[in-house]
This record gives sequence, C-alpha cells and structure tokens, in this order.
Amino acid sequence: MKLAGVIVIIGGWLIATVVALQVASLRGKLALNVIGIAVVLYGLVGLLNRAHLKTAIWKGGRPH
Amino acid sequence: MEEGDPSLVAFLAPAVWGQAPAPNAPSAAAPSAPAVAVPLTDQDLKKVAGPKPEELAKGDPGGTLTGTVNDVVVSDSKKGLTLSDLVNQAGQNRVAINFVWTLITGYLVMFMQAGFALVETGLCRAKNASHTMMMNFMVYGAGMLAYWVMGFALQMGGSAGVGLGGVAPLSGEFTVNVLGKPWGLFGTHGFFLTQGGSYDVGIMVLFLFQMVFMDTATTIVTGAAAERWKFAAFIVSTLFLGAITYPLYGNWAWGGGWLSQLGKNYGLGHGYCDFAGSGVVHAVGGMTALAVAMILGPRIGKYTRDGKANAIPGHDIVLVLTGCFILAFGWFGFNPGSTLAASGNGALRIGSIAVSTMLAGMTGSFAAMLYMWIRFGKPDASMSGNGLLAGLVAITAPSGFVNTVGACIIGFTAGVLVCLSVEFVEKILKVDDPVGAISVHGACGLWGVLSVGLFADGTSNYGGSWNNVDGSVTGLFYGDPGQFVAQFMGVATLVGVVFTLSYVFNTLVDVVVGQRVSARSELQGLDLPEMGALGYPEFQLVTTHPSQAAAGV
Repeated sequence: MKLAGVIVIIGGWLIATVVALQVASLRGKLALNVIGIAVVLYGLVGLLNRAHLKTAIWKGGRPH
Repeated sequence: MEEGDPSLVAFLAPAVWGQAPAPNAPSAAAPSAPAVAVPLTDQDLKKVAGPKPEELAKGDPGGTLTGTVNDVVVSDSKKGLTLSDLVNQAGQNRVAINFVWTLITGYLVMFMQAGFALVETGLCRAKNASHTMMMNFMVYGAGMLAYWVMGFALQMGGSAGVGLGGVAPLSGEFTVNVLGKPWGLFGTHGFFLTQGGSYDVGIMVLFLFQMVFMDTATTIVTGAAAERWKFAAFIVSTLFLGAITYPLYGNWAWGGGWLSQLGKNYGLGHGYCDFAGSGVVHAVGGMTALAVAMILGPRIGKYTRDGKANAIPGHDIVLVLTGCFILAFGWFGFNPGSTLAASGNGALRIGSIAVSTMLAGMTGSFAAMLYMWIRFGKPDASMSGNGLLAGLVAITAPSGFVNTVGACIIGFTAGVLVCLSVEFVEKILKVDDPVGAISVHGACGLWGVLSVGLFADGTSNYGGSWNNVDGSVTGLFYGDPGQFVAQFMGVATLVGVVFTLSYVFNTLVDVVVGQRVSARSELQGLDLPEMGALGYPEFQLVTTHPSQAAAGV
C-alpha cells in the first residue's frame, strides 16, 4: 500500500504538470492542475499515510 | 571605454566637487533652447578638484569632504584620473554595494538558525532539550558540507544570469527535451566551489547566501521529528536534503531549471515565481518534515489507544517567543536580501519588500491569536508565535511582487491556515509534529507560492524581465491567469516530487540506519541516551501536565 501511495503521488504530479502542459487552453491546464493535486493528496493521505497508521504506535506498532 | 565616449554626457559635469546642485533645483538661467549633450573627455576630469590636504587636516565633522574625486582609484598615477577609471569605479561600486548587501542579509539569515533552535527546543520537553538543540546546531555544519560538495553546483551551476554581478562561470545546466522544450534539471558547474571556474568573488557571495537558505530548509525537519529522531539518522537525512533534494528544487525554481522556464517555454506568466523561497525553502523543508514525521510515527503518549490526541506541551514559552522574534529579525535578510542587489535592476524595491514582510508577519500573528482566542477562549502564546512565522513564510515568495494590502491579506490568511492545518495534521492525519513545522512551513509555504499567482500587482521591475520573460510578474487578480497556473505546477511539484524524494530516501535510511530511537530512550528523554549529557543537569525533571502524567510520559 505504501508503494501504491508513492506511485499515485507521482502519477498525480504527472497529470498536474506534463499532461497539463499538453493542453492548449488555460482553463484546461488549471483543471488538470487541480485534478493532479487532488490525486497527489489522495496518494499521500488516503494511501501512504493510511498505511503508516495501520502500524501506528498506539495500535501496538513501533517503536522497536 | 574609449576616451571621450559620447555616451558619457554632460550630466556628469556637475559632479565637480563643491558645485553639485540639488537634483530639482531651478536653474538660475532659463534658456529656451534645448540642452545639448556635450561629451566628456579625460581633460574635463582634470578640472575636477577635490578638497585640499589642509582642509582635510581640520577633520570632516559634516562628512562633506569625505568621498570625493580624491577617493576614485586611478589605474595609472602618471595619467591621473581618466574616464575609464571613473566608469570602472562606478561599476565596481554597484557590484560592491550588491555584494555587501547580499553578504549582510546572508548573515542575518544565518542567525535565524538560533531562532529555530530556540523555538524548537522551547516547544519540546526539557528531557530532550540538549538533543533538540544539538540537532539545530549540527544541521548547520552537516547541511553546509553537503551543499559545498555538490548541492550548490546542482542548484546554481547554470544560473549565470542572476543580478548579483560577477557570476559568469555558472553556465552549465543539464537539460532534457520534454514535449519539444528543454527542461533544465540541474547545474553542472561549481562543485567544491572550484570546478568550472567557480573560484570567483561573485560566486562566493552567492554561495554564502544560498547556503544559509538551504540550511533554513534543513532545520525545519528537525522540529517535526523532534523527541524521537536518532541522531545518526538525522545526520544522514540532512546530508541528503542538502546535497540532492533541496538543490534540485532550487535549480528548477532559481537556477534556470524547468519550472522557472514555464513562462518562456509554455507562455505561463513569468514561469514559476518564488521570490525568496516560500516553496524552495519552506515548503521543501515542510514536505520533507512531513515525510520524516510519517516514517518516524508519533511520540509515545501522543495518542491514546483509540487514536485521540494528547497535548504534550513544550517546556519554555519564553524560548519560543524569543526565537520567533529572532526569526522575524532574520527575515529582513531573507526577503529583501533575495534581490541579491541594492543597486540597479529595480533593487531599490528592497524597502517595499521589507515592509511587506513585517506586515505579513504582524497580520499572521494577529490572525492566529484571534482564531485561538475565539475558538478556545484564550490567546494561545505558541500559536501566536506560529502565526507570526506562518505570515512570514507565506510572504516569502510574493514579497518582491505584491503591495502592502496584498501582503496583509496573505499574512492574515496564513495565520488562520496554520491553526487549521495544525489541527488537521494532528487529528486527521495523526502525524505527530511537536512544533507545527509541517503546518507553518509546508502548508503556509504552499499558500505563499499560490499567492504570487493571485496578488502579484505587476509593479515590480527587476531589470525589465523575470525568468527571461519581459515585463512584471502579475497575478490573477491583476490580469494574468497564466501566472496562477505556473504557481500551481510548483505546488504540484513540491507535494508530488519533493515529498516523494524525501519519503523514499528516508525510508531507505530507516531500513539501513533506523530512524527512531528505542522506546526506552524516548521515555528517558534523548539527552542522555543520544547526547550523553543532560540539557539541564541540575534540574529534577518531573511531569506535571495531567495528560502526560496519565500517559506515563
């Protein structure tokens, strides 16, 4: 799940930059920016951080 | 410069000592014929007389005899003063002003390390005081080492166009072709400050200024990771941040890299604009802090078994607010110094930049104080301090492009944002950030980047162009939506690339070195297990706060 989070974050960045730059209109670019950042945040909060919380210290996870 | 160069006209003539009129003084004669430009020659300069030795011997309490033609350096004493001497002296004076300005502001930024050290140590518990202080102390050396070896070259190795003067050897930028346009990725000149002709007076000034900025980013991480970070892991992580992560983003924004060229290559305003580093310094530090804090996990006792957050108060609010004042003082180096000049190319805007900086800090602290007062019934001191820093962080990117009203709005918004973000990070993300660094520097850094694209008023003029695009940086509210899109791409890159790079590397450090101290060390306090000495050896440390006592910490 952590790896999936990292991949989704990178994917979101690609949408917000490389894909957005291929769109001609400014509105289209801005829309792809917003979508890309939303995907990045989903990867960060929804996947990566959630994976860390599964083994949170108050749930009996780390520290070592 | 040829003698008698016609470009040098008679406006220089009034510089004859003792005869210079006031700039707007009415002329005694009022000729109706247009003024004719008369070329100056070396012979004209011979007529310029300085004060006589006997006059100087009497002293100069009014300062009117010091700094005259006598002080202009001549290249050949037999020939005396020539036009070449005069023009070269003018050029050197401009560069000297810029060097001195940039160095002094750099020294102010260096002193911010003391402010960060006090803020972070004060917000941590007394049993971790020495460890927290030591991280803030050694981050300076570790970051500097990495930056000298390779960080500076990666960041600024292709940035020969900066306005400081005298940095021509920084002309190597590695680029790749993306979507038919060159994307600068990193610089290639300046390793060890000797390679590629970088043993240069201007480059040394630029290095000092950029180095203290980088160190500011690295010290942000120590706050979020405090009270549980293994010292060895901290050193390795700092070296990577100073050598790779920070310089890469710094290159993309300031070193001529791809983000800065979004305007030239894709018509998006003036490309990504970050005047003094809300993104480059603060959001890079904040994103790395988030990555490290996630990997480390929360401190023992921060959350109950059902995930409810406990407050773990710091041990000295006096240190915290003193540190905030030191930081606010240092910010007068951070933002106005980022002109890299006080003479020429619109650098006289330094006054406006300084005023915008202080106003945004003020509105930030007011907003945070009011928010906490209204929400919780008391004007919280530590959050008022964080509000000040939030306003300063947010104004850092737009400070060179906005007016004072824009600065106040940006600062006020940051003051509220930091309060909301602290709660979000603590209660929703459940990421433990003892000092609020992720919110102050990460969230408000991103807000600062976006605010350039909203509030830049189009009045700044730093030599007629910015990022190779003619005209002034102008935000959405002043008519250029393209600038806002460029700023959004910067935000996406900070969260998408900088965070990921920091996360992946620090995960590797966790596997190899181990990021977190043992539970035993953490409960004991890190001063003895990690540093070998207590921060307060004559004090008996007793937990008195109810939530900590209940949690056994």
